[in-house]
Amino acid sequence: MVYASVTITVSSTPPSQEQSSIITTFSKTGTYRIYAEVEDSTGNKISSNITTIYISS
Amino acid sequence: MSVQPVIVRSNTVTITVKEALSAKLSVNKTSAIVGELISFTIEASGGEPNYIAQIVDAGSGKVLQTTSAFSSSTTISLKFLTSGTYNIYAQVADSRQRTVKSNTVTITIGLPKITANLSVDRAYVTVNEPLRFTVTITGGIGPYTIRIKDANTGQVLATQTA
Repeated sequence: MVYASVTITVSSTPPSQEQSSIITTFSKTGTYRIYAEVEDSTGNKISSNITTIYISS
Repeated sequence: MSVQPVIVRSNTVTITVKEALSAKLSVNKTSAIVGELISFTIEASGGEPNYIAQIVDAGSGKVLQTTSAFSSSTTISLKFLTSGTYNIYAQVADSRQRTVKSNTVTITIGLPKITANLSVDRAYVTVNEPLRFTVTITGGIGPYTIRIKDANTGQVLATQTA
């Protein structure tokens, strides 16, 4: 079930930092725990911290 | 009649025995991450100064860098863009083009640690009200694949390559 609409915009900050700006809307109420999983070109994978958001009507 | 020996001194020939050409290679670190600078110090003695040195990857035979002329020692910085183990030596030539190989140093290059931080502009919103997440990535080697995931369900909400 798709309950979120996500748009990602990426910008680079030299020398080695990437920032992605993500605009999200949620179509269902509730509490969501969201994190980002990032994988680089060598296959290294890392999970970010978890952010909790609360969607109300 | 007696014969007296005659002693005659010849001219003097001066022979200078020079120290054989030798070279030593040292580094400021033997392990680093991709893209990190490593300092290589080449010390040369003997032969006929000045010297020129080539830093050589013994595995591939590739010359990584050639120094400018130096009288006794020089230091250069190099970075490696691929992870792995490298055996490096210096090939030193003196002013008469005599060459000598230095000792070999082994350098281990690792991948940079990757970190990711997720932040949100506000925690409380209503249905269909936009909110902004920001993912900040440091380290690693781009491009990156970013997946926004619901920690409760594991569902991937979005995927982006950056």
